[in-house]
Amino acid sequence: MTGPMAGTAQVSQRKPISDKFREDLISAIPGLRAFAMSLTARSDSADDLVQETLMKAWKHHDSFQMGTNMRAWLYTILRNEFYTHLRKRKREVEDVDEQYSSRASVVAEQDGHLDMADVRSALGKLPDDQREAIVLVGASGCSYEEAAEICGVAVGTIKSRVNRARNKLALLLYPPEKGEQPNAANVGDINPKTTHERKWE
Amino acid sequence: MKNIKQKAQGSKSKDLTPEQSTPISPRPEIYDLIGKRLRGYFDDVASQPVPDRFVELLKQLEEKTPDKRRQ
Repeated sequence: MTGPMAGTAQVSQRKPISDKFREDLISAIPGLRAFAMSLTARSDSADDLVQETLMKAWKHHDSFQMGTNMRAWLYTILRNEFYTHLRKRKREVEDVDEQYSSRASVVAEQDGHLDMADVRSALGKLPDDQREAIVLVGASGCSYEEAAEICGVAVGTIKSRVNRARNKLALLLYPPEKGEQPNAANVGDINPKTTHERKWE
Repeated sequence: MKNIKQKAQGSKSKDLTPEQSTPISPRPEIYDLIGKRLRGYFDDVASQPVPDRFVELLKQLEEKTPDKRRQ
């Protein structure tokens, strides 16, 4: 088995939790919060997601191999938790979109972080698979390879999702002015072999 | 003549050949800005102090773990 969740099944063989594991877990919290906040751009449950991730990580500490990439391991857990809850929520509530849009403007006024609110709201408009790809590669500093491992897809898939995501973000955050010709930045998909690609590598 | 005009319009993007500059007309600065704003958003959250609830949580988890080595 490969991947960050390899060995999750063998939790019965308990090993003591090392101080190193605990310390690494604590220092990963700020990054986990940022990842959760970016993923849940459409809700305010980011810290609950982090809490569940920490509990899972603690419970399944045996499945983490010391010396390997803890960030990727934790992000994978968080992502799995996110989608599990997203599916549950989708069954429960159908009119969440309305709640989110009204809440977003309140948050923006409250903390005065207008730019943050804009970015968050734009992220919220992306499809889930594109959002996670752009957040991992474009914001958290993961490599394409790490992102592919975390999302369980091929590197090429991550690259095309990142491309589509940033083209959509360009359109949302920098809409073309009146009379301006639609261009590569604000037309949806573009040829992945353009000059922009290397900026993200 | 047409080519010269196109080149002038696309002069902000230095690397482009004339035939690329008009149909694609990319604005690479937009991608740079988006990258900066995304990282800014992420780093803004990541630089906040760890909320007490997580410190408490780890304390509780530790207390519930009897085989935790004491050092």
